[in-house]
Amino acid sequence: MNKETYIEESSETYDAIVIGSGITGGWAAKELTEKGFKTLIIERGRIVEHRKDYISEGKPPWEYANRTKVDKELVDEQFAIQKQCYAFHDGTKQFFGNDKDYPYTTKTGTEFSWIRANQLGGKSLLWHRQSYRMSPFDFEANKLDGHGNDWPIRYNDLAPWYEYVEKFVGISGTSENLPQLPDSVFQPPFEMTKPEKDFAAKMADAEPDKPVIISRCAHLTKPEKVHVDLGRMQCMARNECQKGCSFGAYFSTQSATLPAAAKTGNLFIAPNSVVESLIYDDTTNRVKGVRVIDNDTLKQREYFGKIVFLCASTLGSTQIMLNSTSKTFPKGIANSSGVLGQYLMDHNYNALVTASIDGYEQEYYTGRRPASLYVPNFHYEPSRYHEKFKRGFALAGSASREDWQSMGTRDGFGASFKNMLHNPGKWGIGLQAQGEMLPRQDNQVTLHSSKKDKWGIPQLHINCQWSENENLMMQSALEVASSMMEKAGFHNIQKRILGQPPGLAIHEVGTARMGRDPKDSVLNGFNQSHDVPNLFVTDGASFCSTGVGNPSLTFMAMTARAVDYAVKEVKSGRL
Amino acid sequence: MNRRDLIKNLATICGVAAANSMVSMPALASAKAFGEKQSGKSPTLFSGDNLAILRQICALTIPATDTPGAAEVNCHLFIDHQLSTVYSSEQQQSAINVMSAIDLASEEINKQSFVNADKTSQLALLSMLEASKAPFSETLRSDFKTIKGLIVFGYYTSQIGATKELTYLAVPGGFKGSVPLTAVGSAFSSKAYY
Repeated sequence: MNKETYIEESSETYDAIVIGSGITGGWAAKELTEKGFKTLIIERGRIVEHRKDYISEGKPPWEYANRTKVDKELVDEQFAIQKQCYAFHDGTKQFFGNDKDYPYTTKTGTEFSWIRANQLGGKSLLWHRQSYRMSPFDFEANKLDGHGNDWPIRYNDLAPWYEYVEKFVGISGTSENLPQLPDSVFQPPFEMTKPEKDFAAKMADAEPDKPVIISRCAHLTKPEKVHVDLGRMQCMARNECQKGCSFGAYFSTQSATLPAAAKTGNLFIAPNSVVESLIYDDTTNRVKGVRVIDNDTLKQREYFGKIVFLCASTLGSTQIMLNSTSKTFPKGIANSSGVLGQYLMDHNYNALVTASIDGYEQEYYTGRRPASLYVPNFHYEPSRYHEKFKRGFALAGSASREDWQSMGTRDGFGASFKNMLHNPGKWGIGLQAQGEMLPRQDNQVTLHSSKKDKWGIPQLHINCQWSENENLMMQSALEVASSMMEKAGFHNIQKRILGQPPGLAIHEVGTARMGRDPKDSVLNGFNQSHDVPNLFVTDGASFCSTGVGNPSLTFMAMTARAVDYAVKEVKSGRL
Repeated sequence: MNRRDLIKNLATICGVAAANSMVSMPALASAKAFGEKQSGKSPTLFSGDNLAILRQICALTIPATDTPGAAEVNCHLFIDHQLSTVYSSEQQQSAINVMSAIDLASEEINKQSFVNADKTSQLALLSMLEASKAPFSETLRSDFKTIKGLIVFGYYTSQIGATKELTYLAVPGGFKGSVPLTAVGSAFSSKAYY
């Protein structure tokens, strides 16, 4: 990035301000700048330059102070929450938020693990990259079963925008023509291992409503010109993505949207700028700017823009809105409905089933695949719901050979023990559920009445719990996955409920939901505030339901669509 | 320019083959990293006697064969380091207790300290521990398995364990779902997460 891109003080009124630079903010900036809007990204964290700042990339385990484990005093002091994330280790910790700096509270008796990534690029550096379109059924579920409010958009509204973003992102996968899982525009898929292929073939006969497919992920397997022009290359299957990828093989702000936005000459970035609140002008009923606190010096400054895209993550955006109070909006900007902060959701990953697979002793694989097996949701419409719960779940997992990590504490000593670990062990398979969480008003965030963070911003107070619906769904997922494994002839089937609190799927959505009715929603069908027309919220906060799939691809498609709408509104003089 | 910068630059220009050849260069260990060649390092957690017991357990668990074993890559010192920096004080004390219990049992059964016993007696004792046979309790067995896990972790994340004993692929160049095991020759050591 050119030095001139980064700014600190500015009295300029930008055509657009984008708050946040993760997956959503990166897309907003790319689209706005490409449409000729002089755009300022406001990022609370430090600058992370593509390649240069991937400080642990390629570092072998023996070069780490503690062989990739993090010093316990550091963990206790700074990463007590973040350490719960599967991707947290000594090579990735620089991209996780410091829990000491980002305190929040939870209602007594509840838990919520809020995973943070406050730097340029945000969670786009850390995400798991699995990418699915939501289906026509997902957008209709709330209306049909009465949980949550009706989405103001349908699949067909978003379909062209999915296609638009997919061509740029690069999604590997297979076309399956499934009603519950619309196909994307695909890069070639990752391969299955031999036992996985056989499992998929057996299930096609035994469980025709539960096809086993390869997962869809934002990795380039055959880069096209649009990717190569940005310096992106084919995935090397290192699967160490969360350290940053100099190949630019997985989609991130740094690898894709930021260089595309920078090419336009319209991009400016204010790093280390913690947004305290939005500045509301009640004479025009517009957001006219943003009040920020310097990340390091704690000094206050302001930035001004004609339209504002709030892309600070689901809870980050909501916290900013709740803290933006005025005479018109005493409960937070654009909150005339009072639902701001309510209907927080995440995905439930708590059901895990593992098994051993006999045979295939001469079969192996090379590389570390960033994709998995995927069994799409088969409870995808009310007529297919389980009698005990609403909505459904997908299963994801893989079959691979055991190694020293799982066999290392077995009994035995000496050359025979060493020889056992020299060879790959038995094949094993795991399938984990990814379940939809119902939208519930009780699951909500508010601002804490007295506690503040070091920037003087009120802490978020989170009250979020799984309901009986999610718990029953996980019990069912255990039975479904184990039954599939039994039919496949696998052995030693182990069923486990993991007991993780909400938050750890890192798919938090809701809290500033869309809707048709300004009385029960914050945003309209274009992610535009019902109350304040030049304010758009295009991250997960806008969701009315979780659906079953990983949400990031939908953030992207909604953002590109919202920018297209906003720009048309501005150019027509309506905004 | 350090090795990783080279990898990054090469990755952008030439891709996988060049990047891989750079990874096979001698490692430039960071100053703080536990070094597998630091045999003279003094322990921070274990007493000299206990460290000697631990070293012998490392040698018996993963011995030198046609590749060096766990003691040769200083797994005992690694465990001392790792327990001190990553594990809780309870886990540290449990590890010390295991060493003391092994020595005590050796005095009882073999009438000599563990390190002075012959290899057959040492292995017999460790096998009793793994089976939680008297005088070893189930708790001791479980605490010993933690240490065993650390021996295995320390060995296969060492440069020798990872690259000489097993197959280390820093930059696989893509994923192939089906290759004959004989084409690889051993298990892979490299993983995304440990």
